[in-house]
Amino acid sequence: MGISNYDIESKNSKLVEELKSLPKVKAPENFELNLMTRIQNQNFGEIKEEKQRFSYFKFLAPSAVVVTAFIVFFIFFYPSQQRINNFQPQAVVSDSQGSVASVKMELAQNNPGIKESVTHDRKIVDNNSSVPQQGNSGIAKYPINKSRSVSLDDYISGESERSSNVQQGNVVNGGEDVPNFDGFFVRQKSDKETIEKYRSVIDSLKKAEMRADSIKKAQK
Amino acid sequence: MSLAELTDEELIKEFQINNTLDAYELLVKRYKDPLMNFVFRFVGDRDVCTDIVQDTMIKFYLHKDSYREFAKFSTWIYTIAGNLAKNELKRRRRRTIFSIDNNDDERSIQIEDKAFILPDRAADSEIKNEIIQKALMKVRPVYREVVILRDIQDLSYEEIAEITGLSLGTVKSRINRGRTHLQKLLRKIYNE
Repeated sequence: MGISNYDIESKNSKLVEELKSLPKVKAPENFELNLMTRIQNQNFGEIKEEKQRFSYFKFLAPSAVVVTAFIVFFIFFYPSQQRINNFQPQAVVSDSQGSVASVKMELAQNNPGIKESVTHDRKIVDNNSSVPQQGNSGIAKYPINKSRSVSLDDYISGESERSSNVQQGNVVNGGEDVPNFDGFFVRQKSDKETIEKYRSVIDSLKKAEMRADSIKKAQK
Repeated sequence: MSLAELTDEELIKEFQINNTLDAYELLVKRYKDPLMNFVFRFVGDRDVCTDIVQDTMIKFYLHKDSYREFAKFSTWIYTIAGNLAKNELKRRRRRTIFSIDNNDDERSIQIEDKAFILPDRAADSEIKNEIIQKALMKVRPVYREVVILRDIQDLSYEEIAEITGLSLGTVKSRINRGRTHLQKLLRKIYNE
């Protein structure tokens, strides 16, 4: 297993001889004098400073390498994956396709003509294994603030128009424990009856003005 | 008993306990030449080699208490010198990387100063020595160090293992590889 000393020495014996015959280099004459002078004058040069410099390098270099590695990892490798924001509340997993299907079912109830296609869609949705399963109750829990929200089904069917229009917008918020997010306002349809009413009032006022003007002109 | 009769280990003990400067001076006297030879063969620059040996002796003076009795003094001082020489090579490599106009051959291989060669040396052996030194400088430092310690400094494998902190097997294989590489380089140089 090991290399025997004899093998090592005999293999390159000529070279070993040549190396051994190399002239010995000696220290200069004033070597000791210089050394003792340095010691007496406490002139240790770089040797004493070496320790401090080394400690800086020792701690900074590895940390710099780690930080660089992290930065490189996040810049080049991480964007390919989905980023998760820890500060953002996790949205409740909901069956979006299921809710669309329920809207379609409702539409089908109102319009019997489209029933077939809707039931066909429903079948496809039901067979799709990738659709997340709902809980035992069969009702998905949505992160919606009930006090300021409107049911989409009611909204589509037009029932929401009859409710009070004090709330100008309806808010979908991110979770129960999270402050309200003032976004995703649903635009309310304008009330045609009210517009017509105010239009007729304005028209009658304009007509009355015109009449008053014509009377004034006639008097002159 | 005079200090001159004491062994290296006894001298350093004397220096550690009583802070006897004469004991320190005696150790410097004993080791300055072997260390000069070792460092010169390793670094290949006479001026730098003198500085390294000076620094080795100052380190020995400043950190005398870090020497432990169970180790041989010679291996301890060779370890210090070897580490400083390696640092110098690293520094030189860094300088070579950053310098724009580097003429590596010219700078790194400095042939032995004529003043240190014995006057009775024949001209051809002088050239031969220069060639060997030139080839030695082309061997990788990890192999060069052990080859110098074994073949030039005449240290035992055990001592080399202690100095380098390697196992005995690693030392032997490195010596073997270093010699083989050196042999190849010398053959190449002779052919040129």
